[in-house]
Amino acid sequence: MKEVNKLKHALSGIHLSKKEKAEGRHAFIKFMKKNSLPKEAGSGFFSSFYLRMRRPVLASAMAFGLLIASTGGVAYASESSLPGDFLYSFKVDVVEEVQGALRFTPERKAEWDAERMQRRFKEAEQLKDQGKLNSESKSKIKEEIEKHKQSFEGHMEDLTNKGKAERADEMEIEFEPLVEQQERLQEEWKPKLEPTELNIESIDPVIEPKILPQ
Amino acid sequence: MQPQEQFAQAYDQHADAIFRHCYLRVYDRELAKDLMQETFMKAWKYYSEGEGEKIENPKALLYKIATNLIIDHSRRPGSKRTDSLEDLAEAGFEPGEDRSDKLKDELDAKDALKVLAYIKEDYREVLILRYFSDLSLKQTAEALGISENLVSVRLNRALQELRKHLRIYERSK
Repeated sequence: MKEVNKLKHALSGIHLSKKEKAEGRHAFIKFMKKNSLPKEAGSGFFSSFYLRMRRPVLASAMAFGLLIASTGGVAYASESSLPGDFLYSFKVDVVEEVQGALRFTPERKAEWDAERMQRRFKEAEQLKDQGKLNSESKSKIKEEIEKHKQSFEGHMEDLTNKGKAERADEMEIEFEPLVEQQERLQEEWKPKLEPTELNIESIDPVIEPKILPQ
Repeated sequence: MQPQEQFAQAYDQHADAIFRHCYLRVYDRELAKDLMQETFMKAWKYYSEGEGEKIENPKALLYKIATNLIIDHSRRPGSKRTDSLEDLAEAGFEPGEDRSDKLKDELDAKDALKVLAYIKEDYREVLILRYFSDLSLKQTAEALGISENLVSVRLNRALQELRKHLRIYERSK
């Protein structure tokens, strides 16, 4: 066993710095508050009742109700919101931002950006299915997608600067289908000019002789 | 004590050890930090969703979650295992403490990591859990989802490999 002790001694220096631990602890407590137990939303009675329940479906339904009533419930309820909904800004600007802040490496952060882009595509589909896709929601989705893409690119730069250029290249390749999907969406949503909207009188007189029969 | 306080206390007690456990498997400080943080978040989710009505062994649960996260990470396309000295040298890892004042016959953290990296993955994980994270035989088995017998077998082989690689290292000095 002296070999193990030798190794243990050598590796005893591997630990978090005080700052890292304090930051991690703070983020974890914040996470617990955002994802709080029903107990913390209300009475102590419910918590023991909930924890002792043997019928998970009923327990989940009751928990959902109470979550909605609590602050943490707003985050939970906002999860299924779509552009145009009251809670949508809370979802993308608060809940998802906090989730992103809990990822520390550029790699993980970039993965989260890709995940967020996929969420936006899904939201666009849902709105289309519901017949609620209008210029306002299209504009919001386009803006968010672009934001996630820029953020992803920024993390790729960080990754490269950290000497992980190879991994950054791999991630860029994996990310490519999402960029293509973004381009397809932009093309699809581009305002189309109807031929009847062309005003022949507005054509520049200099080029007029070239395109109009004399 | 409120569940949040209990979990915060568990964080204070185990964060360093879980971080070290992850680091000894992935050899990447930032990634190990991420995995450690995710371990606690998942433990909280597990508990708050009611599945962990009563967590019998929080320490084993934390290690089980961390081990699963490490496995998930290693299966991701593009993730690279640092199993050789060349890989380790390329990875440029930093153990986190300058031990330049060590005695001549002592291993430093970098060398210890190199020796550890030579040990087969299955053996290395039991060695880390049992001796570096101080889990009992039963807890190690729970964390890995294998029998205690299999843990004992792997542990024996891990110790044999460790002795062999330490000898090689000492001869090469």
